[in-house]
Amino acid sequence: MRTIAKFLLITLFSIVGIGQLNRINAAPEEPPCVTVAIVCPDGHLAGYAVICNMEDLYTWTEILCEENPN
Amino acid sequence: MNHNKLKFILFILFVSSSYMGFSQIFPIPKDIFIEKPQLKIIYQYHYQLDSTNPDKISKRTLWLLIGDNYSSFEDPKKKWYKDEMRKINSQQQLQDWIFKNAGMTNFEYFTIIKNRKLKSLTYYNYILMSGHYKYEETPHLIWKLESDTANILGYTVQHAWTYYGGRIWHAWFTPAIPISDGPYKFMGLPGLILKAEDSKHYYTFEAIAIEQPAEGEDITYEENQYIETTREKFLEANRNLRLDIINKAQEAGLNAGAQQTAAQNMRLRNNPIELK
Repeated sequence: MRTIAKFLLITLFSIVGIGQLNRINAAPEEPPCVTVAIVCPDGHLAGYAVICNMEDLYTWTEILCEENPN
Repeated sequence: MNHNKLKFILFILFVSSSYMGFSQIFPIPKDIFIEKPQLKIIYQYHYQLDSTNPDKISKRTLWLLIGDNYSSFEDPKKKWYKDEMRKINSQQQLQDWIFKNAGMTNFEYFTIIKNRKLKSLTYYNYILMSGHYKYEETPHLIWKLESDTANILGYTVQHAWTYYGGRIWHAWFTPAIPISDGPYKFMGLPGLILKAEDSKHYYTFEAIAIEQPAEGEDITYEENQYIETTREKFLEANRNLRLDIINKAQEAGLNAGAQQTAAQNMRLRNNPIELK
């Protein structure tokens, strides 16, 4: 029983840890940053940007893409 | 394996999945409850950010939620965006989401919370790679009431106009709904403002529906580490962003072509809602 529990907990922490690997190394207080392709509403690739929060992702998309006149 | 063991393993798996669910790629701010609204007014918001190009009109749908003491004015898609981001916990998921939702990120980021008793407001917004800003304001709206009327959503509306932020604004309000509130920062008329438009027709807010708010559609604000500022300093910070966009683009790792696109598009944003 204990062995199973230990195994599951180690697996859990490993999985959560793997989720962090794609992020650029940062001090714990700093926001995690990732490089992503910014894609515009018409499907064209606007560029690759280092994004550190959801607000910057939104704003870069808005600035780099022509507004879709919907 | 007996039942107890199975239950224990299932419990661990449940806890694991819950825990992993909380490891979002970006920190998502919490919504802080202010008040339950009594009324929801849905406005269509049209604006022309480039004064030289009348063919490029942005369209949004914004909600005014009105409670006894407070009201909020914001784009409901912002909450949708936050809920989407809450589900993302890896770079790959984020990239997949961007490809799938490329056309969905057109919404307004600002939130305006009005204190209806004090006739003041708090404006919340974000400036690229700078932070979350908020400022308090008591707009000095001196309304001139006119006698002409119109009809919006079946309500007879009366014309009034004022001067705000470097523009003349025309409003149409209905005394049939005796709530002194309206879209954006507008308030102070003897009835709900169902339409507001600047004299050059660059910016228009027009009510398209009046509804009872659904469960969970509350007046809230985002919990963030805000930079407290003034309206004037916020407008200046926004102007500075336009001038500094190449540096910001370099800092974000964008290549030369994307830097130029950002600069060019920022130059076309020459017609903000508040000029001064």
